[in-house]
Amino acid sequence: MNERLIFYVFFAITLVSALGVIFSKHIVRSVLWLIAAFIFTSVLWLLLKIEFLAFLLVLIYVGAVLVLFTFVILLFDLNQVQHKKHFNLVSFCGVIFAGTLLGIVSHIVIRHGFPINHGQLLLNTIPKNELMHLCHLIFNNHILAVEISGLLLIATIVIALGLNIKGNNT
Amino acid sequence: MIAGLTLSDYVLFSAALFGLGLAGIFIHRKNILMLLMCIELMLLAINTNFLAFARYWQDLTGQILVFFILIVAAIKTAIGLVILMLLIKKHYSASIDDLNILQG
Repeated sequence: MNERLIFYVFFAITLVSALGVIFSKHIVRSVLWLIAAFIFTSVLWLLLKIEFLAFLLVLIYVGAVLVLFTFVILLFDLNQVQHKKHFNLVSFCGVIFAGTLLGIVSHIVIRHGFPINHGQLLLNTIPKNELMHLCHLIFNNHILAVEISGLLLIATIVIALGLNIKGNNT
Repeated sequence: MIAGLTLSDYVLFSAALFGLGLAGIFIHRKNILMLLMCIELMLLAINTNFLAFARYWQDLTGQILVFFILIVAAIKTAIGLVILMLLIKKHYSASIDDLNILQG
């Protein structure tokens, strides 16, 4: 019961943060709302007892990627560059589309639910050494994907440096 | 009254977050930085969905997929921001319309 209360509180806060991302006037505030949304979502992941990925989300996303966003925005005073909202027919149709998607999903979920255990998540039967199993799976069964993602990261560094050097020369 | 957390809660949450990201993409479709941020929101939603279903089926594969999605999303953001920086240096704007110069 307590968990459900915490879940719905953070559910509401995260959705408010997402609305803040979309409807903020300044783009810096949008990024700050996005950081808030990520942190609150990591709390929801902690409620699922997925501690490692919640830690990774805060460390990598909030600590590196979103700070990168903030750096880029502060580097070029983007508030002067942008920020016209275009409320026309296309955005209206898009909002209708997103609302329809949400409506269909919520109708199906609320009306029909999920078959196994009435959709309850059995969080008490999780083994204590789950992280060990996870690492074992990643570094044995999925080792090719790990290597490829490492290669992708190196390629990203090279591409970013190369584009910047070339952009400065021309 | 159901005692613990259910899968329906998480599916509703991720659907709402995904819908907000989608609406944001349609509203801010001229601004590259807002597009990147709304894509981040949608990725967050699908990651939450993956984790909830991983718990539902009591299977670790969903968590591994989220691990790799996080890596690829970080790469995507870095490359997108580099391209955005070059565009701002060249045109002093962050608008999608100025990416017309990229047409082959």
